[in-house]
Parts: sequence; structure tokens; C-alpha cells
Amino acid sequence: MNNLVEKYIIIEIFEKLYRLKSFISSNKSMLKDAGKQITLNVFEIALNKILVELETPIQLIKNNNLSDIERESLNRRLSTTLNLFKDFHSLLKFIHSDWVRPETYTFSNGIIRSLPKEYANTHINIILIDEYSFKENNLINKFKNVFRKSRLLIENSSIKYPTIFLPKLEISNPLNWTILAHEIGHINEQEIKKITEDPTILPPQTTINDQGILKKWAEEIFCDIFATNLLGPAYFSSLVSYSLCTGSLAWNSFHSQYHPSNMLRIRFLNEYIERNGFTLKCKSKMIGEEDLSTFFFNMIEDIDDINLGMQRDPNVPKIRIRKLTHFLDRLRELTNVYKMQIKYKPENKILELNKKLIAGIPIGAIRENSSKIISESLSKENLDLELSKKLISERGTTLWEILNAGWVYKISYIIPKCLKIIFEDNDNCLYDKLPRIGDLYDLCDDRILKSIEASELLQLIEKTEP
Amino acid sequence: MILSDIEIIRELISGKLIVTPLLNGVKQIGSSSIDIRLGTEFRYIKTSKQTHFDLSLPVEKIRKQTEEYSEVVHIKPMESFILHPDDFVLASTLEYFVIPSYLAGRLEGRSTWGRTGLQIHSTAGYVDPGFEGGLTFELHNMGKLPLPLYPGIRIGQLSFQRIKKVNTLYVNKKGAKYGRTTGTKSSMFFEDYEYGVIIKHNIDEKSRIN
Repeated sequence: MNNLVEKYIIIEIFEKLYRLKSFISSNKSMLKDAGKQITLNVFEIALNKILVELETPIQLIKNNNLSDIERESLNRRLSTTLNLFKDFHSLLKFIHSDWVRPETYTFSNGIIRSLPKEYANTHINIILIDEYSFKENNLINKFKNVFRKSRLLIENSSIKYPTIFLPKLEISNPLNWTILAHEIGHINEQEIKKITEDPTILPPQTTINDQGILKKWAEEIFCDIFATNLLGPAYFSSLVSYSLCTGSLAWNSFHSQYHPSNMLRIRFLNEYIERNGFTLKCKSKMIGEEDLSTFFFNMIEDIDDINLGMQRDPNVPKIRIRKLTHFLDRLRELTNVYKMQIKYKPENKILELNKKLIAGIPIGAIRENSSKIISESLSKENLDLELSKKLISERGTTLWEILNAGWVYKISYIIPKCLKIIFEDNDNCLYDKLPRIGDLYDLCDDRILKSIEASELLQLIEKTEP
Repeated sequence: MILSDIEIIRELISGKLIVTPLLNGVKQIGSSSIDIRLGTEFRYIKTSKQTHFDLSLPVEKIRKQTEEYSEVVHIKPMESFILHPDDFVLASTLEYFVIPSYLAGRLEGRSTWGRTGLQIHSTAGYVDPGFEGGLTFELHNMGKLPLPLYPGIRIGQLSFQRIKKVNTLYVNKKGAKYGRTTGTKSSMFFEDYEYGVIIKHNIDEKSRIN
């Protein structure tokens, strides 16, 4: 499909604008104070301005044969809009907001259970932030820094108080909560230590400065692998979408002191996914039949042409490619040794779950047995009611299944519908299109959230019921 | 005619009747009904902000009033919601239902809970053909002791009646207000067409007096 990546970015911006609008409206309905209402109105007006900004890129994208100059103009406009959206998000600090949804904790508890036993009882704190980024921090370390400055000592505590930061915009978007799994991976300090302190990951003659950077990068890649092992292509899809919308795929060479470039992470993960066979067929008119991760990877293959306006961190020395090759090869070997438990089941029923989502049905449970087998148990010659009741029972689905089915649903059902609404409907203006797109995402969010809750509950009941 | 267990299973196999999650068929499918489980969302009544439903306001404001009349509480798995004597709360099923055009559902309590004084629904136990969604029901503790209610417990049962195929399914019915939702939903009585007339009349009267 022509201009696919630009079209995808436009749809993502629509999704984000709708989510921001919902976030603002949810505050509005709770407020009686006129001053606060007016503040929220200002946000709504500003959102509409961003929406109007999209008109020109949409018109440009409709032209399938863009000249180089037109494409550059298109990318500049998209870049402006993405930056606008990020700045807008940071202004949300002017709005009071609630705590995160309870389902976010259900989700994160599911991820924490996958950590080694010693971390199983870790309680994390999740809070909403204004900056559009996902982060992890340890409260004890923060206190240590504060007290050190005041020359006070704080006891070395083995108890960790990790805090995960979730952008306000993502409050109800479980498909992007997969990135929280990466952040939760940072809790696994023992495994991280084993990898980052392994001297063989550092190429010979690495400067002390580069050593520090590479160790931090190794931790990031470890957490990527942790999230991928638990959530497979769903994590990869979120990472690519997030990178596209934050403009962090701008240049191959964009790194920071703490993170390797997202392009490097994505390339590494894509290979990891292929190697481990985390494949997921995704089918739609837009993409034909394609593997979910491959769809995203192919989409960003020509991303170098797109300059989404991120600035390079001037403090990061340019690490030479030769060093990176050694580093990545060694990480690949090490992560094989320290392989964490993989929840992926080849017999998963993602496509069946996707069909349920298309019908608007939550996917917290699925039947293992085929209708044919159950029918046989009910045939006249062989009537076994108890067996039929057993066979017709469902099992709780896993987070892996729910989130991957959700992503397949998004790519194969929601995105094609959005493409139609945004690029093919010439009768309605963007203001009218936004709620129609929002309805698609609202339904998806609701069903996935419900499924996460039901799956957790069912797994608890399954454990206790004979 | 009320469907028997075999007929319920046949309908479930055909995929026309959907009840999901159905975790334990052996325990949940009775001789002529399916036990339903309690969901995680409760909506309790808050009277501190309201004196009455003011029907001389525009619909949007009445909607806001009804929203403020109740508050949603989310109960985590393995935590309990305590329903005190004479308390009234809206709850929802853990299950999502798709009822085909030739079946109607009837929600009933379970004897186990009835004996404690728990009423499962006050008046709205009928489920229309073509209904899709989770069921919201009205819990009322008529007993003398507080009842701890846990998400996932079997709270009631749904039986099915076969009827002649209907022309307009609930989800397609004009004015259907509660379909395709999953959590609890407040009353939307003000969207009934009768109330549309009443509200308009009240607003006109108010502006005439002013």
C-alpha cells in the first residue's frame, strides 16, 4: 500500500487525539467549578486545532504518487503535528487526574508473577505522568539521593519500591500497556546484573565512558527481551507504534546515554522474534496475509526517508558499528543462557479470539474443544451429559493471548476501518470523523480491559475449583 | 418452553447462544439454566448530592444527575464488596451474552443466596431476544446481616425460553439503551420517549413562567 507508514502515523494521531479528548472529558464530567471547566475548554479548543493541522497531510497522502518535495513537505507537517501532540500532552500537568485504572494493576500483577520467585511479592506503584513516555524508577534510590545531599544516611533496604510511570493518554489503552512489561523487567535486578556485569559483552578497547553506556543499553535490551518473552509480537507492535509517534525512529544513529536507538532495539527484537518463532498471522484487505511483527518491520524499513524531527543527544559519543556488532552478538548468546520462562504456547488461539473481538465479545476465556467433539458426546447413541458439560467449559486466556489477539484485531480490523473513514470518506469533516474512530477504539479498549480482568479472575477460580 | 440442559448445550455448541466465560460447565449448567457469576464492577447509590431527579432540566443535565446519583466501585479478584442490610447496589455479570433471535432469557436468583436474604433483581429479570452484552442487575440485601460478595462467585442463574423468531432484535431496536455494554450502567429512563415529551413540556413550562 502506498504511503502506508504515513497513513499509519495519521491514524495513530487520530487515536491519540481521541484518547486525549476522552481524558479531558472524563475530568470535565466530574467538575462543577466554572474555572476548571474553562481550563478544560481551552484544552479542547487546542485539540481541535491539532485536528485541523491534519487536513493538509491527509490531502497529500491521498495522492499516491508523491514527488520527493511533496513527501518532504508531508513529513515536515507530520513532524510538526507529532511535536505539537507531545507538547500538548506535557501541558496535561494543568489538569488534575485520577489514579490509574484498577485493570492496570491486574495487568502488572500478571507480569510480576512471571518474574523469578524472589520478586513475586513485589508491589509496584503505577502513576500517571504528563510527559509522553513510559518510565521506571525506584523510590528508595530517590530517597537515598535526597538524603545523601543532606548528608543523612538511609538504611540499605532490600525492599524495593518500584514506581512505573504511565502517560495520561494511555490510561485506558491496554494494547500499549505492553510497554509497562518492559519497565517491570527493570525490577529483575539479579538477571540484569548477570548480563550487564559480564565483561564479555564489552568489545576490546572500549573506553570507560562507552562501557557505562553499553551496560545501560544491555539492561534496556534485556528488558525488551523480557517483555517479548511474555507478550510476544504485541510488545513489538507497541514499541514500533510508540517509536513512530514519538519520532524516535528518525535516524538509525539516534541513541541516548541510557537507551540504544529504537531502530537498533527494533531490529534486534525482530530477529529475536523470528528466531523464537513468535509468529502471528494477521489478515486484512490492507495488508493481505502477513505476520504481525513482519508487518510492522516492513512498514518501517524505509523509515530513513522520514525525518520526524527528533534531535540527536549531543552528549552521547558515537559508538562505532564494529563495537555494536560485538555487543549485540554477545547479548544474543547471553540472553539464550539466561532465558526466562516463555509463556508462548504454539497452540494459542489468537485467530479465534480475533474473531470474537470482531463480534464485540470479550476474550477472557476460550473453549479448548471443537464443537464437533462436544456434539459427538451429545449424540443419541452416546449421550454423556456430564462429559458435554466438561467439554463445553472454557479456560481463562493468558495475557499473551489477549494482547496479541488485540493487536491482530487492531491491525486487521480497526486500522482498515480508520483508513476508510479518514482517506475515503469525502463527505464528512475531521471533527465528525474523530468520534467514529473513537467508537472503534472505545469498544476495543472495553473488551480488552474486561478480558484482562476476567482472565485474572478465572485463573484464580481455576486454581481453587476442583 | 424452557430449555433443558441438553438444549442449552446444543445452543452453545451451535455458537448462536454465547455465554462467555463459561468456566465450569459441570457446575454452571443446571437442569434448565446456567449459573452466572458476579463481575468486578458495582455501582452504588449516592444520595448526598441529589434531592430528586429534576426533569425540568435538559437531557444532558439529567444524564449528569443520574451519573452523580451513583458511583462505580471496582472490586479486585479475591476482595469483597460488603452489601449491608437494606443496601441496594447495581452489579454486573462476569459473563457476556449473545442471545439469538429465537430465545429469551430470564434472570433468577439462586436458592443459596435467597436464603441469606439477597435479592438478585428488583424487577428487571427479562432478557430480550437479540440482546448482546453483560447483564446489569439490582442486588438488594433483605436479610439482617451484611453479605460479603466476591467477584467470580455464582450469584444467579439464567434460563432460556424458546420463542417464535422475532423481527426486531434488541440490539437493533430503536431506543435500546443497554446493549453491548460490559460493566454496570445507570438507569437511562430519561431516554424513554415518554420522558422526552415530559421533559420538553417541563422545560417549556419553566421558560413560560420565567
